[in-house]
Amino acid sequence: MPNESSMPVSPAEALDWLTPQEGQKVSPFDEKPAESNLDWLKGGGQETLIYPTPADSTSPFTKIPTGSLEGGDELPAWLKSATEDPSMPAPGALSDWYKDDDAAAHSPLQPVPIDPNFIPAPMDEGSLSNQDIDSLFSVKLPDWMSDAETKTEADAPQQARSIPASSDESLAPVNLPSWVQAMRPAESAVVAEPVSMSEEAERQGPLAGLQGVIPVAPIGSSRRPKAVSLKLQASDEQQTAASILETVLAGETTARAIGAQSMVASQRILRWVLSGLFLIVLSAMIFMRTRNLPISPDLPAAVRSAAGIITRLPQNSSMLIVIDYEPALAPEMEAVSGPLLDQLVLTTRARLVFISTSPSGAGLVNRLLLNTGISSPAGINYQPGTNFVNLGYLPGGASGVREFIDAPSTAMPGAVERVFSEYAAVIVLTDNGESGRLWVEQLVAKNQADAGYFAFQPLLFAASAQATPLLQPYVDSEQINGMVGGLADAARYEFVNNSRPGIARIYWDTFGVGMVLGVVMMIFGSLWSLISGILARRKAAEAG
Amino acid sequence: MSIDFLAGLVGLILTLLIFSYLIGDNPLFRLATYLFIGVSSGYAAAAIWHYVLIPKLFNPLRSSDPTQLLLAVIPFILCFTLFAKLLPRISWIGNFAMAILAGVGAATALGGAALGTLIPQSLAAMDMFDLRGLDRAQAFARLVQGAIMLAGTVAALGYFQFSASRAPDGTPKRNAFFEGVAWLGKVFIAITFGTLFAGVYMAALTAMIERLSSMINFIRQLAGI
Repeated sequence: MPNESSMPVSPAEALDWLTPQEGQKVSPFDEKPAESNLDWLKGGGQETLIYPTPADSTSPFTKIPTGSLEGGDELPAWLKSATEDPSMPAPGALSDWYKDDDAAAHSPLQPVPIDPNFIPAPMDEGSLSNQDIDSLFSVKLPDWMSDAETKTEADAPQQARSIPASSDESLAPVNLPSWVQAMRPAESAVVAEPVSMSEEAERQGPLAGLQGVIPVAPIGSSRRPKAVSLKLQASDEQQTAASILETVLAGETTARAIGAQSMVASQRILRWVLSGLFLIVLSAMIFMRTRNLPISPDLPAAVRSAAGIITRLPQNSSMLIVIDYEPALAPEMEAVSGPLLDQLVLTTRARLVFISTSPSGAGLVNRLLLNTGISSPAGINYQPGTNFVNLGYLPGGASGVREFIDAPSTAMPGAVERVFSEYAAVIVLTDNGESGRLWVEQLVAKNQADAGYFAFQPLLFAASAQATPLLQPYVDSEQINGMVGGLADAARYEFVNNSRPGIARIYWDTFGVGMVLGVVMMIFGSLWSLISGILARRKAAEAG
Repeated sequence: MSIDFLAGLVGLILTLLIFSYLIGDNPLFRLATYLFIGVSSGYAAAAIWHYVLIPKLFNPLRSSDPTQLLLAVIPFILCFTLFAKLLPRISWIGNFAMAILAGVGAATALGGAALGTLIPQSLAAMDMFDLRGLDRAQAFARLVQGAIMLAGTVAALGYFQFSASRAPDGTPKRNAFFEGVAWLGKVFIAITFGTLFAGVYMAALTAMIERLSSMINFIRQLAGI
């Protein structure tokens, strides 16, 4: 027969050990059955116990004077704050994750919400009969518990009767001070996630015949994540390569130190000064139209050879003129080729056949003839179609050149010459040593393949100053029979050619001053760099 | 307003836009360069259409001669297959035409380089030491010239010889002879680059003089000077 001390007196009392975990709520009622054991807690009804946290005090509890709870429905302000949920749970309190439904489903005890206004009726020991208690258990207990109790009573009825007798004087768990129960660690260590239950029915003990009661895995599994070694398994060679890569990447990602702002500004100013100096000096020379700088009458060997070849060319023959320069260098090329073409036209009255190896070259023919005075009415007045013809653009690079050499009329439908040997001479006007070399190579290759194909056709060049050094070896090896290279050669050629057409002569003085200015600038800059370097080294040596 | 005046005015404005690069990269300079690139590309496209595609590709297709027509169809088909290169899935169709272009171009260039440059230039270098028929002064001058040319060629090639043995401290090091040759080669290479730079400077200076002359003449024309 159960003792009243072992039966649940009230829901609040049954969950008394949980109340501090709910936020240190003040007990709103007196626990009469526990009065005998809680004499030390009596405070005359004027004091209420709150459960302190370890951080609050070393004392297990603190007495706070309060008024009577029966005085009104409203709680005092300090009590309201105490009944509210704290912002942080007290030590030992249940965390939020524990309060979720899933955890609650596995919790053996469900916290029941307590009405602070609930005041249980005083319980009298004699008011509860055995029938009442049995009726309570007959309704509340599950079947398995009833069966176990029946079996137990049938097997050992004496033992069942002796249990309540022996427990009369013992302290039931519910009668422990709440702050002591709050320190119980057992129930707080509830599994955080559902564990799988055994599907086999229990065969022995009080759980015989039941299944799914005991989890398969023990609560608080000792399984740990597999240990992963953080040490990199790399050989020395790999580590060396990694360090090299790291060094390279560091070199790439490290910002380069740029020059000081003053240095950049001074360079910009220097650029402006030099540019302004050139513009002013050259413009002054052009504006004054000076013709003071002398021109040497001594022609270079290549120019002299070209001039001699032109005088020996047959009259009224076709001459192939190759346009192999870009528009940017057209002024120089017109000045360079002007005296050569002028002498050619005046001496031989040749029919000029133009062909271009660059798409934009086809449009430069008319400009060339106009600026050199060949097609201008005030000059020689050559007429298109009659005295000269523009075949246009020859595509294909080396292949196109070779095709044109093999069969001009096939490669360029406008050409009237069926074979290449019908051209009395080939004159290449080029600003590029590489593309100009193609004509040399293909003509030589064709001449070697077909011996004497153009053995008597001279190959002449009018080249820009920047292409002349690259073509000079072909002149020395006599693969190029004559060449006018740059404005200097053109000015001499003009001087010999009775100052016609005069373009080189117009530019000559300004060109000479510009050359001298450039040389002076380079010498001055080199000396400046040399002196500043010496001073910097001396300064560094003095600084140690 | 004549066309010459307009041409001169446009030339003056474009020249000033290009000169504005002296103050740094700016929209005016970029406008001029974009205009130049656009005009050049457009002119090149027109030139190719006018001088290449029409006379060499389309006009032969109008021939009444079956042989000529067949010969005209083959390049037309090959040209058409090059459009397949635009689509990766069928780009293989254009491989044959590309192979012909690359193969013929390489063969022509290599043949020309061997017959027109390599052999003749080698023979010319050897001829520098052919002193037959020359008097003593001419022979000496030619011998010096040939020796300098030979030394320059060998030294410049030696500069690009990067094989080296390992020194006791582990660093790669050429032997002393090759170090000296390489130093001499570096001197010749520097002289060559200096010559090329001088040529570029002279070409650019001539172009600049022409531009300044054109601008000044235009202003003179406007001012009636």
